Amino acid sequence: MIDCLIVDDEAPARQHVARLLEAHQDVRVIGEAVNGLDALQRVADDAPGVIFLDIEMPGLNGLDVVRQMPRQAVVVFVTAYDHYAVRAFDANAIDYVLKPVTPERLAQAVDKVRTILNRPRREYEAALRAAVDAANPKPPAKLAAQRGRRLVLVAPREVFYAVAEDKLVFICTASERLLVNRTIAELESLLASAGFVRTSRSTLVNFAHARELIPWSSGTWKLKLSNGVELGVSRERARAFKARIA
Amino acid sequence: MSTLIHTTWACLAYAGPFYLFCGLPAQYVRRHVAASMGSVGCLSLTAATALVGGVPAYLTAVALLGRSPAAARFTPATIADGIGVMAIVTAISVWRRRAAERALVVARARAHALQAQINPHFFFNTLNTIAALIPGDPSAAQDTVARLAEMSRYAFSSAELKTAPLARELQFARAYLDIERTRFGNRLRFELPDEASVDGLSLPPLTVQPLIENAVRHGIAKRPDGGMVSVRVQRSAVGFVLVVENDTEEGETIAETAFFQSTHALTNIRDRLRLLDDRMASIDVSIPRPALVTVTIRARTLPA
Repeated sequence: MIDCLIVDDEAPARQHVARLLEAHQDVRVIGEAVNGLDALQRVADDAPGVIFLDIEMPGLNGLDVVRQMPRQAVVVFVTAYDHYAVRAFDANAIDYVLKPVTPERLAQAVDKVRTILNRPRREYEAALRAAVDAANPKPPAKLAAQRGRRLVLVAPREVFYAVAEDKLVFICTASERLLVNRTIAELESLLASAGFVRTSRSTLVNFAHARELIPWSSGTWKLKLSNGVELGVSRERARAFKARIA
Repeated sequence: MSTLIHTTWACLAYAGPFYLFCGLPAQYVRRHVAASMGSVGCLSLTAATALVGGVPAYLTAVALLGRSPAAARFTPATIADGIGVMAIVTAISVWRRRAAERALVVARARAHALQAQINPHFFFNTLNTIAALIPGDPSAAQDTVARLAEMSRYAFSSAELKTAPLARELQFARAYLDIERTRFGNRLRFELPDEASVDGLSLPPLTVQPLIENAVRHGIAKRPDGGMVSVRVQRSAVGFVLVVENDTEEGETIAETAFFQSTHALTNIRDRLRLLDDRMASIDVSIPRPALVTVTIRARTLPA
């Protein structure tokens, strides 16, 4: 059985895909999501194998959903009109279906999904990542993080720094500390273009909030942030960091 | 011979400070202020700068030259001449600048008029909605086809027109909102004025709907619980004021100026309003309180 999640902010569009999928016996719709955040939550909770994902949605768009998915799934993009994204998908052999969605085209997409599911996934995942980055090179407008059991959206500019503790990664805003479901390295590649810099193996700092670099001991430094927090800067990162300040 | 040297020296001494004190401000005025002022305002401003500049220029010249024969040239009449010349030069260049700017606006608006059609994204999404409605709710599908046909008919026929009746603009906007309503359901709430109440008023075609589409796409769609877009029209002494007001995402801060980026629908509308009526027509954005945006168009009642 192929478990599917349908993501679209418009109810008729979700119903349409769900109805067309009924024609495929090995496909089961296990849920629908009405926006990007909802989609991330359902991917975490229900672990769908395939996501039919609308690109243009409020809050987190489809591309940001893929970049922040807590676990991997095969993605079929569904889009009304998006030159830029479509070109990136073509270049990376990632499937997309144009609206209005027809039964024939959706059947083709389902066929492709079957093929992908039967093969090792590493190549597919790399292609998906490349396609999404090419389609939207900008940093995500919002970052998904966990407040208790709920997912919430945080604007990158509100984040002072991210820190890895044991195997957990937290982002720290002015008022709270939220768990994110990524490694610090993943977070770094996601946020590098938003002006985030690694200051040590375990910390990633929003450069916009950096205020003062204070010499500490044996080549290490302390970085003071605008909210008063001080973070250690390792010797090897300090050089790159200083270059950035100068 | 010495009279000639003195006269030349006097001219230089006069020209330098005069340029510094009133030429530079005049340049600044031309570049930054004059474009937004009328020619009368511009002339008086130039005269004022020239006066401010003329006095130190005169004093400098007297100080440098003492009682040289050339000092006789610095009479109030000379200063008045200088002011006159500066004013004329400034007025001409302002006029040329405005003409060039206007040519640009005309060219841009022409290009926009061709583009001012139904947004392709909306168009394909609507076709998808229709396809989705056919099996379960054929009559809603038929209604949506009819609304889309109505919109297309107006978009095809009005792009070439200079102005369109406001009542037609509102009908077009209503067809658009009816279609969006099928998608957003109760998340989208709207209020439009009665079409009979705007009789005799007109605007460039395809002005109102893009504003509402912005309000829906960038405002209401971003609110999980949806929101309200309302259009109000109020007649004034010379014309009317049209206000589009909508809810937007909580906690988002956008500067008013960001609404007028060159690719934005608002720039297009502003160009076309300028083209129609340079003096009186205007479009402005304001954010009266968080999560609320209003766009205000002011226009004159134009002869039909």
